[in-house]
Amino acid sequence: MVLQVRNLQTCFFTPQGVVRAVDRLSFSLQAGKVLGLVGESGSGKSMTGLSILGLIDHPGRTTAGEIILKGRDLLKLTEEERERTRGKEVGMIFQDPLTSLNPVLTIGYQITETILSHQRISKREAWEQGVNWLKRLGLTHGDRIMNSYPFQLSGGMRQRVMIAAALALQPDLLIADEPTTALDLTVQAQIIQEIKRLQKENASAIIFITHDLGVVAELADEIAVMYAGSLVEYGEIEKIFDHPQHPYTKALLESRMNLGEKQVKFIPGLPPNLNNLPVDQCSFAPRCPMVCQRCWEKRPFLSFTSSGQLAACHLVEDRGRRENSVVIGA
Amino acid sequence: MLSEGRFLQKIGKHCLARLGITILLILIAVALLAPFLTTYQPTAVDLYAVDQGPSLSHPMGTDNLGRDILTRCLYGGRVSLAVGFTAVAISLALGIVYGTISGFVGGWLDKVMMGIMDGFLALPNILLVVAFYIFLEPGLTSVVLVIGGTSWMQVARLVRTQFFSLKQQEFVQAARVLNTPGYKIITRHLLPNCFVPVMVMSIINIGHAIITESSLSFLGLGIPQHEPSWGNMLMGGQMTLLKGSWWQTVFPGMFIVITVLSINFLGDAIRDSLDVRR
Amino acid sequence: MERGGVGEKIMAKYAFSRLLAVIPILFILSILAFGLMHMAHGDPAVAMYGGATEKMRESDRERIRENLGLNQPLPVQYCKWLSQAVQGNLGVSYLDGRPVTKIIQERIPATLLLSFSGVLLMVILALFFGVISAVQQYSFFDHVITVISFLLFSIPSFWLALILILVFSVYLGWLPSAGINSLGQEGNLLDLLQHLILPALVLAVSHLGGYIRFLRSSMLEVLNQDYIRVARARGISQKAILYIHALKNAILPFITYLGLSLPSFLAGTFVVEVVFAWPGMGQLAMEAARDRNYLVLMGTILFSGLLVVFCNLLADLLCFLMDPRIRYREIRGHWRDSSA
Repeated sequence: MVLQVRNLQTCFFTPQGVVRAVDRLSFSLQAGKVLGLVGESGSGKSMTGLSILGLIDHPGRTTAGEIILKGRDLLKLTEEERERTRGKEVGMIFQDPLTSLNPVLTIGYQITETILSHQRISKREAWEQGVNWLKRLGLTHGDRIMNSYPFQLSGGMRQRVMIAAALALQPDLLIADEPTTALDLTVQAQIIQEIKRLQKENASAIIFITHDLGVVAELADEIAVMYAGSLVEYGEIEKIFDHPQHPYTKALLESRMNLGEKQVKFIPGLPPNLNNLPVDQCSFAPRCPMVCQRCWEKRPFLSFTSSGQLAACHLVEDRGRRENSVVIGA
Repeated sequence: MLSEGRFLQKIGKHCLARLGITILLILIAVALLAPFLTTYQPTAVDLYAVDQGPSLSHPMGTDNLGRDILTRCLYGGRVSLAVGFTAVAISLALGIVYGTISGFVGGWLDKVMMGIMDGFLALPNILLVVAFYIFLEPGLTSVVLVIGGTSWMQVARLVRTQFFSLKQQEFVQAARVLNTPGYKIITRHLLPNCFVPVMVMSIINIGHAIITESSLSFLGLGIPQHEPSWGNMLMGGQMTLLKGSWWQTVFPGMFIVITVLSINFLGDAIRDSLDVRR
Repeated sequence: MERGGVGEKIMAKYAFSRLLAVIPILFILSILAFGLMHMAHGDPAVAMYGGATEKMRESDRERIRENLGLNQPLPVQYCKWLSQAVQGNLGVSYLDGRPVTKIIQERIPATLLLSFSGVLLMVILALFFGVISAVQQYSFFDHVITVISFLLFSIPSFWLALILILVFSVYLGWLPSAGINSLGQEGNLLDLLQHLILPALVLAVSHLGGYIRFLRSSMLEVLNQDYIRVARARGISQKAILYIHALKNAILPFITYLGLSLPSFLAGTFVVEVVFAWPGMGQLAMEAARDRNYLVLMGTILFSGLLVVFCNLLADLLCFLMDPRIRYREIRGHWRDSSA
């Protein structure tokens, strides 16, 4: 087990109120597996990634929970120790390759700096490593690229550079925050192939954050669906795609366009305002097609379904109780 | 938490703004009411009371001709404030006209006009002011004219830049399509949208004008010493400084600082409050 | 990747193009200076002989005008003057008969010393306070610095000079209050430094306000960028992030801003020179203004303009060297790469 997240809570304290960006999130991840973290924008998936890395800045703060990476609770570390885990034990790839690279520093500098801040080797060796990683990602003119500046490269190349920089330290856990969203479709496909290949080669654990279910379907072994900061469904990907339990997951899957369909199915309503979200109701209640009285009064807990998934819905709870399955309290 | 720090800063700025306005209003009131506030005349020479330090009869001391410094500071306020406001009004008028022409017409005329302006801007301000000034009769009007005539450039550039960016916007193009005459486009669409940044800049320029006037007078080139101005009082102050007559330097300078500071607070607060809404 | 001859050629080309862009401004400057001279009470002869003309007879003035060809059309006069000026002949000071160019050249080193020291001091202070202010945003320190910046903005430099003279020369007696060196101490470096401290400090501090706020907001903008967060995610140390990743980006607009505000900085230098009786170009200009020595004044205007333009060029070149994006614009086409 590489990563265990228990009851993670990250809040933003604004003058307008408290935003619970990540609300009592729990999941786990084994080495060599890919977890797809899915949800709309504002669902808290990026915040989860940043929380694991410890990059939540004011007015936000991780207020509760445990992030256990290879047996160590990251939240109990000092800032210095945390800094040392970043890059080496947990790596992150970000969404926009254009703004994610420093425009006035060469690629070579940015890659070797990363390597050198965690390993005591010579600059030359670090450079060699950098070139090798670029090669592994399909960029053959390693030396030339290392000497270039970010604006001299195309979007696809930049993203590969980012991935190379993130993987260069061979972290145990890699968090990929929508790495393909800003790219053209063809490049997107290539990058996904690269990630797949590298994941097999290195057997690292990956959290793949995206709102694109198609991408998730290709890569992930497990999927976690988030809504308004909390987990609504979690389980193996085939099971969830075949038998989604939570109304939100069902709606998400249905809203994917299929060839030949005339109408776009969408989820009515808007994502909730995370400011001062009421605690004692289901956050999806305003938009749920199967909403009942209880959904407005009590917050559903994650419960196991018969097929082995976890879902946070009163209906699932009921079904579970009828089948005598376990209810997991949060 | 740090968010409170930010919140406090916003409130703090509001307080500063209010403080700025209050002080400014007090200063203006004091300057206008000067004759009623002191018993001395600003130009009354009293050779028995030369170079006296602060005392009960002269709270801010006297200068080298025995004139009461507090009185001269108050009267000097009139001069400095008057110069500040008038000069900025002049520079505003000049700048808006120049910037409007350059910005509205564009093309080669704009390039030429901006080039000329850049030439002016390349010179140190004080040098330009002095150069223009020595060709005029020394006195209040000359000071105002010269300061106004050398500080229009920033306003012009601002107006011109705003015009350029506004011209691209759709409502202007719509007006053009409807064959709205040029002057109407300028007065109804373009100029009103420049209002806020130009106003903020002008307020801060008042502070600059006051400092420029005091610099000129300090150098002996502005208001002659008979009529008090904070600047020429400081010129007198410099001469007696080495003797240790600190009051002649400290008090007039503090008036300048407080005035300009409150103007700056005001300008900054206005810029902040109007920025957020946009 | 601009190694070898390509890099140097590019830089030379860039420098040259900036130089060309500067010529129109120089042209306008010369017209300004020439025009000022001819504005002297509507009588150019007055310009040549300044205050002395008031004592002349009309016939003498007429003779002067005739001799100097002042009855010719303005453009002709301008061209004549310009050709002389380019060769370095700016006329002769009526007070002591010495060539204007020579007088000014004697004064330039002092001005350069003072303004350079002032700029250096100011940049160091601005970097220090601006960076800390940005990093500790909204902290007590930040608020204090903001208020102080406002204060500095509102203090006239000559008043600050007077106050410092009061404290350090009159009351404490630590530092001299005027001049560039004490009598008989011309070669003494320590003495020079003692005289330099106060004026340079005044110069630096009185302009500090604006620069601190600019650097602060520049740094803040950079620190909020994605690539900073990405660098942190890779475990780069806070120090490296601040001083390499962030500062390298924040300093580019700062240099441009510095270049743009050079004229006001030079103006500040001139005023400080007068207060401290510093034998530089500014003091010369003010004296010339008082003596109605128009030719000298005009000369100082020209030289000041030249100085500013030259420094702007340096700032441009500095930006070129430090910002790879500007370099890239110039060598467009060399490194166009297609997707791998």
